[in-house]
Amino acid sequence: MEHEFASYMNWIVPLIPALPLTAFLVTIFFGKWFIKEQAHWLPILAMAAAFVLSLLVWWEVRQAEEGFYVELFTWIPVGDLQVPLAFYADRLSTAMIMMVTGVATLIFIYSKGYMHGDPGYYRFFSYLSLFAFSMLVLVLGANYVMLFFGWEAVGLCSYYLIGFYYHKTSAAAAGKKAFITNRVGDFGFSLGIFLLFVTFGTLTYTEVFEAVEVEGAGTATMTAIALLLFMGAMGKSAQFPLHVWLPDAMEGPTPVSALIHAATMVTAGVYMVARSSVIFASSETAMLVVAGIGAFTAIFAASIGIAQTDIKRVMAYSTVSQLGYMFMALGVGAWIPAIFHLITHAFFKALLFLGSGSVIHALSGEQDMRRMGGLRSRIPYTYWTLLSGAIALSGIFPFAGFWSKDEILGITFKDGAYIIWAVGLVAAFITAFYTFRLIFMTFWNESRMEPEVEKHVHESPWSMTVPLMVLGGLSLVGGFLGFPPEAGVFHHFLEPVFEPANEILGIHHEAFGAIDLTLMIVSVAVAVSGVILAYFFYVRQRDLPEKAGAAAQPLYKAIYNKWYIDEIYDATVVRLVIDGSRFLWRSFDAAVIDGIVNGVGKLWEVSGAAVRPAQTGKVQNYAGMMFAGVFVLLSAVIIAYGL
Amino acid sequence: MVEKVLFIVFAALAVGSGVGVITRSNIVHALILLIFSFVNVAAIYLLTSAFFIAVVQILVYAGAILVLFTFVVMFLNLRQYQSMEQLHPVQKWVALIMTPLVLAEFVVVALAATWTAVGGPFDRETVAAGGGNVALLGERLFNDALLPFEIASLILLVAMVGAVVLAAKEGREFMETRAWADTDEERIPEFVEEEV
Amino acid sequence: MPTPDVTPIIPELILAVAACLVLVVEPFLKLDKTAVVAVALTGLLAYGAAAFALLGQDMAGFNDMIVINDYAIFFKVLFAAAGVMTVLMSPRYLEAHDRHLGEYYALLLFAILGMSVLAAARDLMAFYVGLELMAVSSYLLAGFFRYRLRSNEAALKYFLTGCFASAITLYGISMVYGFTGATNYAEVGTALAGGENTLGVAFATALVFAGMGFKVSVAPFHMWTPDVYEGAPTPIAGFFSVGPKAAGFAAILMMFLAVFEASVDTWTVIFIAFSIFTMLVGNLFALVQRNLKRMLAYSSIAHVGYLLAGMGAIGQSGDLLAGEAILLYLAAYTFMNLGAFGVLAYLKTQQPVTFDYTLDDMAGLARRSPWAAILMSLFMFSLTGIPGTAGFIGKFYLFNAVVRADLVWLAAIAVIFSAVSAYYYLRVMVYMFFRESEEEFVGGEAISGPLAASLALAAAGVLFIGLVPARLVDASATAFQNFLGL
Repeated sequence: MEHEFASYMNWIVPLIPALPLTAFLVTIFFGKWFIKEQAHWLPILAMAAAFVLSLLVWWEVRQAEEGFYVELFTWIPVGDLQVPLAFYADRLSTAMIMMVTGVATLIFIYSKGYMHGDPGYYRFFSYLSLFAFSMLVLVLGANYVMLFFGWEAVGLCSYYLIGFYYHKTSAAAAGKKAFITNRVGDFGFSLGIFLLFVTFGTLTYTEVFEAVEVEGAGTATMTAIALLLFMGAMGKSAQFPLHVWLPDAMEGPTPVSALIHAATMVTAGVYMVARSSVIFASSETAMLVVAGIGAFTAIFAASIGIAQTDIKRVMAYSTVSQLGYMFMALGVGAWIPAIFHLITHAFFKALLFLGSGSVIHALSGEQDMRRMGGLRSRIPYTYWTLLSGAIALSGIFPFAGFWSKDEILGITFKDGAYIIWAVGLVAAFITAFYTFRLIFMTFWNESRMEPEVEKHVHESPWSMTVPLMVLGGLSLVGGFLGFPPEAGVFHHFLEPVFEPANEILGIHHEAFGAIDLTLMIVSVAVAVSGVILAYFFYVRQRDLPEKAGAAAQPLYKAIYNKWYIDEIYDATVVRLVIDGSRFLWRSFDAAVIDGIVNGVGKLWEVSGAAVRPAQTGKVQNYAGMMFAGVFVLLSAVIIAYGL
Repeated sequence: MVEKVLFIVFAALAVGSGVGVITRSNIVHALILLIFSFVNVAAIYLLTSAFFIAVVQILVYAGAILVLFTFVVMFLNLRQYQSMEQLHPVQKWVALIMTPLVLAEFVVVALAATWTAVGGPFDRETVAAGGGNVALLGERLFNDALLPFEIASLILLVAMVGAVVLAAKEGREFMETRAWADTDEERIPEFVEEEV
Repeated sequence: MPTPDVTPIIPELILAVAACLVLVVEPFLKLDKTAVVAVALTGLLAYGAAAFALLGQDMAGFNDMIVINDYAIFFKVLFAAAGVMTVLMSPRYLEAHDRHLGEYYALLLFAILGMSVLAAARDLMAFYVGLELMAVSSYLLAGFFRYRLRSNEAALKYFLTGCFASAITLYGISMVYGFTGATNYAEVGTALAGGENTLGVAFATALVFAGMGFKVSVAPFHMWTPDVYEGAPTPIAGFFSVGPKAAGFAAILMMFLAVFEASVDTWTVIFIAFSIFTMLVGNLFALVQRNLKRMLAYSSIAHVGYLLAGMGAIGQSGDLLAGEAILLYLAAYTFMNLGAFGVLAYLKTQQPVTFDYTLDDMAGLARRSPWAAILMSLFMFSLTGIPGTAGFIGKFYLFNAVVRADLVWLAAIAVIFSAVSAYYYLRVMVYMFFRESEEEFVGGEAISGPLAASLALAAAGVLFIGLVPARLVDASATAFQNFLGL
């Protein structure tokens, strides 16, 4: 039965992206001369209003199974094919817009404090608003063309914002890298959309999915479409081997990292695959590839995270790894847990980034964890909120990350994908380890700060700490949206969206049982052991010099000896692991993948260079070439007519 | 029969001298051969009773335009071309092979086709009845083909404007205050000479 | 003798008068050429307005040699827009090169007049004189900076190869006349449809294709393009890349659909084959260019390749869609490419000495002049074909039409090539946003009003077509159907 939507939906849905767009236009045109230091008000208000509207949309959409479709005008009319400028607010996009507007509002508020005094203040807020607009178009668009528009536009904003500090060479280089890597992904993505269009003759979601279900197409075609689309997702969501740009993207200002490179833009790939669930479900190969790449990325990126010393780079690899989790879930048909993890991840990863930003802010720009330490009592708000994010990321009960991550692992296990489950579990262990390594290195132990920096340590202003607290709260309770596992509010909400895909895959619901409980306990145990290991390495061992100073007492001799053994252990096993991780990062990630990415560009350049000598610059040669062309053309005509 | 023989003679001369134009390295000789070629074309017009066109051909092309050319060439003292064969060793051979082939293709197609329009709407009788060559041509040109004619006049205007733009001398003052924007580019030798 | 009805050529008459006025006004002025620019601009606007006012008319004049109908008007308005943008971006640029002469505008107007005739001609003679008027004016404009070697070289190369191409076209036309004894498109088309001389007609088709292929730079007749764009004044290079190209396609559409209908199978194959080759050559060479004007030249060749694919689709299916798509594409292309050249012209006026159109000169532009960088990225995005811009709409319709003509493989090739093109277009952005300039930038003058207006016009065009294409789609559909007499 068709649900009647309230008529005000017709204008509030388009208004959601329109608000940040207006904020962008006003800020960019009047920012430099008129608004200046007050540039934050309009974008923040616009974003908050968009959030309220999103809640309204949610209120309406939750009453209906199908989505709400509003068409503004026909954008591209081609005969019987219409590509309208239309928005589609179904349960999936509603969940996304609530997350995007909510997190963005918090991050905008945070930016007010973080970017204070920056010469490009108005520019920053206008770009952020433009980004929010693009992201909302991406998730609200009713067809693949609008998705593609949003896709390119968020990319563009992200390049600008990564390169925001363009006077820093590394920032500029990072922007460039993001740009080029994404080209590779988008190349596949645009071909995928094109193939979709050629196969089904439409690009509107509802029509495409209906066509896939009813008529279908050959498995080979579906596989090709799905894999090409996934190529785009790999670029945007930083999946191996196109993940290289994301860690470098941390050169941008921290709010950007939080908003774009943790919470929203990088999850666009996940959203796209979930949105196209029917298409992916139609191809087993594609599902396998998605799951495989996701799982590999999850463990690969996590292992690299161990060796990083830059606080933001740890987060970046962690993001890559968590996105891998989401794809892993999508690949085994666990659509809802993937989106669930996307949402919880948005909360706690945004929190972690903003928290790191707060740390960096407190330390006058220091990002190296080796020159931090002992900040626990100096910046308590930051510490406690960050800690809550870390617990969530590690997946410890009852924080948000626990519910979503555990659900993914649970489903992979019950699905019989034991290898993927094992990989995920190991990755979870590593995640807990590096997350708490970060916490311990940053906040615990003695201070290793430069004296000059230490003098200026200060807690961040309210505009920064309040968003932290809100996100901290969400990281704590957000997971209960998915309680009880696989049957929570969130699941019931999203269920209708993925019904068709689940039908194709033949997935049916299983009740929560003993096996789930066992798996939960296993994963919590794994996470906790990761934390303990980190504690062991980064707290106990670090105390060593201090205690050695007071080593006169025989009581400590034993401990000293014990630690001596640990030193050996450290020198053998730990060094090996860490060096291995570093090796992986340096040689493989940096050399091979970057090499390939650059190589693709080079390939074209080289083939172009090979033909360049044809352009001699001599007019006689030009005429000769024309004459040769005429000759070939005329000869072909004569031959074709049999003379 | 006589006409046919005459046509073959004139055509052969026209083509022969045309070949001469592009093979002579002495530019004055080349120009004289070109005039000769034009005269032969005029003779062919005469054979088809297009007297007015024949006269125009001789007066305008062979007479005015080419004599002007010759004067210019002589004034500028450009007697010798740089030998192009040395510059384009490969292209020479390609051209030598390709050109006859293209020519052969044209001939083949021309022979295979039916040329409906050959002879045209005007035979001698209609021309005579229509008031002669000039009257008919005038009618065609200023009535039927008025628009192309007018546009052709614009082309001539453009050519004239262009000649002024490309060749007019500018005042010394202007030349001296000129800021040479492209420093990497050489000045044109002709201009340097003018300054001497 | 009846007085001919001049209604069909009212816009052209206005243009001719304006061009002559420019020549007459100029000697009375000293250094300030504002009056000349104003006359040229008024002339162009009046020309466009007159054409627009005649919308809906459908009549032939001058012995059926020229028509005024929606098809011709579509192109006239397009030429007027291109002309206005070119004129607006020229004064400061020419001043920076010490060569601000009124003749420049006169020649530009004459070139547009030639284009206008080309698009409206219904007779081989009118077609040819229109072509020559456009060509001769173009040669002169290319060599307008007579004190620069590059400009001289450009003019000479353009002229020599252009004469060659004209000769080839003329030979093809003369063959057609020889077969039919007529020059009027309709008469020739009917006569050729008789089925005689199939080889001869195919041969003439090929010759006309080669000649016109030169004008719109189809590979391998494209060799002049990069040299001419590089040497010509930048606004003129921008104009060349859109104006004569649009006029060329206007004529190609008419010639091949009306005159050479009989040899449709032949030219379909020709267009498809040359389309692939042109896309390949254009894109491959564009990849290695470090000079932006050359890059845009090769990329314009690549765009011609896409348009040829559209022609192939028309031949294949007889579908109207492809014709409309070509018109739409030409309109979109006019704004985005001219805009890109406009930004380059602006940069040249900023740094007349150091800016040499290379990629390295673009480094750090985002910081020096953020507006120029943003506009340039808009145009590059549009040329790449990102949704929301005119380029996307153009490509979407064009490739869609090619798909509809059962040439999916050709459309796929075109899509792949346009994905490759993203590399060289977006590389410009990489330089603008992510590279630091090696040299210290010396602040130039502020952007001149007319140039800013021109860029704003181009950007507005790109966004308007990209976001609200429906109007233009309707316009091109009406224009094209009208041209087919539907």
